[in-house]
Amino acid sequence: MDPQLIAVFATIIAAGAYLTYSSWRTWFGKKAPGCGSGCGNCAKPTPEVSTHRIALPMIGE
Amino acid sequence: MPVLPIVVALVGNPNAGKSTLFNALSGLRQHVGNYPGVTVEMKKGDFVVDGRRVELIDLPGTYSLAARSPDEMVAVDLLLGRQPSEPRPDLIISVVDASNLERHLYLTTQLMELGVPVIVALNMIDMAKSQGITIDAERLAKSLQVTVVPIQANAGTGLDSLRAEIVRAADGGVAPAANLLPEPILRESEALHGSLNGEIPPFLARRLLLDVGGYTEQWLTAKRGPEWHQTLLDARLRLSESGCPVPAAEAKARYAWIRAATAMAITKPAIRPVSTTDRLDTILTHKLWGTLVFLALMFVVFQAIFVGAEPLMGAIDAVTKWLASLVEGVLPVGPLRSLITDGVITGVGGVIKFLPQILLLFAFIAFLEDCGYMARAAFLMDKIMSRCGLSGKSFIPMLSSIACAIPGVMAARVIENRRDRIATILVAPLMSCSARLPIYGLMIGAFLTVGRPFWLKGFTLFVMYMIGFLVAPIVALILKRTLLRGATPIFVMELPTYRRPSLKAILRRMFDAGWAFVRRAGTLILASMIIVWALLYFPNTDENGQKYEERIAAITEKAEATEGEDAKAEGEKAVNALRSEWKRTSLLGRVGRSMEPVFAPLGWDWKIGVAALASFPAREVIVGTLGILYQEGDIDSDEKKDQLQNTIRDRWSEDPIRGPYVVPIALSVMVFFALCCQCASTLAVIRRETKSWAWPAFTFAYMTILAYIGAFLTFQIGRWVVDHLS
Amino acid sequence: MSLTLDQVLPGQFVEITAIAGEPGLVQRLYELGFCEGERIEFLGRAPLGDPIEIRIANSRISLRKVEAAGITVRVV
Repeated sequence: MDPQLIAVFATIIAAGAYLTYSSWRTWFGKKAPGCGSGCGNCAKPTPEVSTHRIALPMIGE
Repeated sequence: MPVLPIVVALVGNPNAGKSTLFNALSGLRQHVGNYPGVTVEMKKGDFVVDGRRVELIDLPGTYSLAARSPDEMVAVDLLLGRQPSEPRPDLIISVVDASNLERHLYLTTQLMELGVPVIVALNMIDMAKSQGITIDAERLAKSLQVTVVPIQANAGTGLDSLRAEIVRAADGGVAPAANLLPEPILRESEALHGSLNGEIPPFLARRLLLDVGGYTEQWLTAKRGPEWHQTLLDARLRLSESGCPVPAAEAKARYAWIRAATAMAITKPAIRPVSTTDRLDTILTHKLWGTLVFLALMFVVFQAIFVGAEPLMGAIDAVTKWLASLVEGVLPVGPLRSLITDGVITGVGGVIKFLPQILLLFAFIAFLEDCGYMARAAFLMDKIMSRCGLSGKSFIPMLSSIACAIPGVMAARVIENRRDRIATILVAPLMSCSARLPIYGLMIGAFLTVGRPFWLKGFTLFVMYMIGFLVAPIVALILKRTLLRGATPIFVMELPTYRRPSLKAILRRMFDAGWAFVRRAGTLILASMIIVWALLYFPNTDENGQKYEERIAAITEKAEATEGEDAKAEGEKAVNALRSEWKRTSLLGRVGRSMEPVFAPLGWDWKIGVAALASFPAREVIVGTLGILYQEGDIDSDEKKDQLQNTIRDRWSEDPIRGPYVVPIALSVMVFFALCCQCASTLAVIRRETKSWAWPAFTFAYMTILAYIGAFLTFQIGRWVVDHLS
Repeated sequence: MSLTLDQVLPGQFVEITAIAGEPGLVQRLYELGFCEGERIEFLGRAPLGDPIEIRIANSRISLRKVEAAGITVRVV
């Protein structure tokens, strides 16, 4: 088999694995890696606070 | 035995200069917003004084400890040591603005009842002095019975004595707080505290009594039922009968005490001098001039994003080209070379190219926020927001969404009312975030720059941002009339004094934004581009089993060998036709072509459709995908075709059916991207903030439908205009 | 002469005589220093006539007309 093709398949699998991992982490994990669309705020792992927060009951509208 | 660190909480009104002081003390740089409520999260830092470690917590800016929302309650709980994983602060620094001392001391008097030593950091003494206000700190300390340290946080003045006082105060005891509340209130709150069997500390019992409809009341009523609630109402009624109606009695008592305490310490000029802020605001919040300045400012910002970023973008383009040719020199024709040059270098490079525009956008956002103009913008726009049942408070999250919807959605935590909070969260992603800038830049660069008036590019970008500003309130209005019915929230906002923003803070913000953008391009966008490349590369053979790449190489070689322009042009044409066939028969190409009827009403061909589909996880992917789809033969590498935007302009204009309608198509693509929720991260944050899967699903569905309708209308109206008016 | 804050003309100075309204709003106003007897300078209105901008003590506050309607003032 073409060595270039092997390298390409390996890269595609790695990219697919990374995407699966990162979307799993975004949706189900504790820490959100910001969307990073350019804002400074989500470059850092944000919810340091949320782990310290007690889930407060939402009452009344 | 190791000495425990001193835990210090920074508390103060919005715009008291808390964040600046936090940065100056801990050395940790963090964004300083000159806007009420910008510090939603609590920031932490630490430093060492005389060998003692001091942990600093920066609490969100607040006017009082009367908590109405869960967000405000977090701060109160932390100060009372009711946060399970946080130690109770050993010391509170109450940051007050010297030029508005009485109002700021209101919060200080509440802090003094917490049973924790309090230091008053008398900030902005310079500004007070310039207004003719002088404060005798020693006298003030004596009458308040707390330590008072005059500081100028942005200049670093007085910080050494503040640090020394922190250590001293933490080791000393708590001075007994003066009893400023009237007797009946103290008696009733004691009785209330007793009847709750120690469920809440005495401080909260007092807040429960005084804060009508406050958080503690809501919480305990839900827990103990309406019968218990009646006892609370009875207590308030008794207070009212004895001449202490809530909430007026508390405010009167505190202000009376503050007046008496500051009377000897503060000298004010008889006539308030006219300040720079006054002079600026006569124009900036003026009915007519204010609006004109606002619109002009927005236009200048967007025009500058284009003009200022141009040279750097060209340079990045050149580097990308050079890297690609370097790889082409080393690797023989094959899938790996195509992956590296087309997928990685061109795909990711095409996104990185927009870094200068992102940096400029953030420089402007940081400048406008830090100088205090954003609050004026909220003031000017509030009427529109209130018509839609939202308030200027929703404006904060919506403005932050111009940077990125994620902090915008999180900033919605400042909104007390749950329905208003959800309505704001659902419309925040409609604001044009910085990830949309690449596609706007590409389309405007391709179709609205060359041969058009110089102002058109900035104007179009402004219009794209205005779409978010106009559609978001309309959607909010519909939501508030249907799913999230409720009254229009209150809007009482302080317009902060104008300040000269610090260059350091702006540069820091630009750096953070740029780094986040590059990091995202190097991870998420890179991985997505590899997948998109693969879907556009395979199968790489034609129906006869011959590899496309080999066929292209053969034609190129032949064309290069022959002399004469005609042969070369012919060869180029053949190569482009072959590439086009290859992309059309690729996996993603087949999906795109089968979906062509869906895209046709928007004026899109399958290529645009495919690029839009591929960018649903992250919108920046469209630029790289178009880069692969519109890759051109490089025989006689013609300067003109070096740029993706030029290729796209040429190819679209050549199309016999779509050719005349390139501008409507470009606008339809931009409108689609302006309204669509192509960001998996935003949806994830919405799920986290609303604690439900239904809201992100709803957001995704409504925005996609809205985007489709918007793009459809844009193209159809545009086509009609082209057909009838030109 | 007694009127409510939303009826004041730009440039006028008034004094608060009473505050009424929803408890949450009233409490917030008190916290910002809107006490009976306090002086207010009416600075102006936003382009669409609402909200209004006023000065109390040394700070500029913006509030909506509906909210200002709960504040009774007299011209000084």
